[in-house]
Amino acid sequence: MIAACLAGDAAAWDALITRYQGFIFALALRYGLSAADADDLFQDVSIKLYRHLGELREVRRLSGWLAAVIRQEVWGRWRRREVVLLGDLSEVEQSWADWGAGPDPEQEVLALERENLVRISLDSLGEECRRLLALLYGPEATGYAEAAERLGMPLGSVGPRRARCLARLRKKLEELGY
Amino acid sequence: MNPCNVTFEELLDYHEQRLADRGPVERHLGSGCTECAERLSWLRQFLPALSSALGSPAPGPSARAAAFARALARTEAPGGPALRTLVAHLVFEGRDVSMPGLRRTGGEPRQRVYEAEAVVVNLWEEPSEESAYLIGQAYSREGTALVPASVEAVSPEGRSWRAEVRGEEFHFPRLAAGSYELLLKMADQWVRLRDVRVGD
Repeated sequence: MIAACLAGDAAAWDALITRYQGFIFALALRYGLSAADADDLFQDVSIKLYRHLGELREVRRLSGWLAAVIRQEVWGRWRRREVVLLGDLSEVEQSWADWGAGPDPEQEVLALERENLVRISLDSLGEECRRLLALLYGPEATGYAEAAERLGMPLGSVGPRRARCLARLRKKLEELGY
Repeated sequence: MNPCNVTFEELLDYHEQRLADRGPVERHLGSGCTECAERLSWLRQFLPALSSALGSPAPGPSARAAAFARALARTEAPGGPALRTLVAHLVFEGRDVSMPGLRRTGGEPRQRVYEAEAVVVNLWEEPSEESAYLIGQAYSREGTALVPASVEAVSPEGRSWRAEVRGEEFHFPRLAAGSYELLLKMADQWVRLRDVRVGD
């Protein structure tokens, strides 16, 4: 994908932005930016990404690179008083301290990236799969019996179908490089 | 040889503790099947991500910001030298102004001046019934014309229009009433004009 972008393929760049826009924005919000400031930051990070594509040959390393750029940008803007961080300042400061001091500071970035990729992949599954997975793994997850009743399918089909849906999700994520 | 005889569904049932007898799958995993170990690792990583993704609306930038990011590939080659982005501020706004070339076919023309460090951007708007004609020029503070390589107007919905650059001016012949972000790509920097209201 990056190679295609570097070759001037605008569609590849579109796809790269589609893939990472939620991640960049979510991480900016995670650092306490307002939606408007996160919007601004997203545009500036996009410019940096576009300009540095030549140094980023592997998509797998992109989230780490983006996370570092976002962190620098937010930190710099905060110090220059260009942005106001939402929430209690001591919590934000503690969050910054935890980020560097934790045993594995990349875990949260990876979790955000996975979540973002899952959202993208879910969009490509059919409606039936999305509804079934929402019923079984969403915030108001139900048991198999209720899922079967709501979807009008035999109880014995729920398990196999959810496995097929998850296998399709995994395949989609593999196509995205995961 | 270590044939993988555990299906994805069985592994999923094992992970979710739905199997009455976990022994066969445990023994299989204990035998060192790398394929099943990878699938199990995927389930451990991505099922929590699936729950999070299903549990909250997708965060994302505005359509306008996303359109700006996409427009980058249409305005320059990737991997070039890093360009700064300057945000211009409105320093003057007035109506009933004179500007050579304005046709005065609609309502009162309007002039706006924006500044961003050493760059000054003049905008003249000539409204008509359903749209406006927008002409712009960029200068240095010393008055030297700075001709942008490209200029895009992006609506809040993310639609974008590219200006025609004619000599030292850039022209948007027909912009619908609304708010736009103007993005001027100069030789060594971007200049952003936020919330340029047209037709009000």
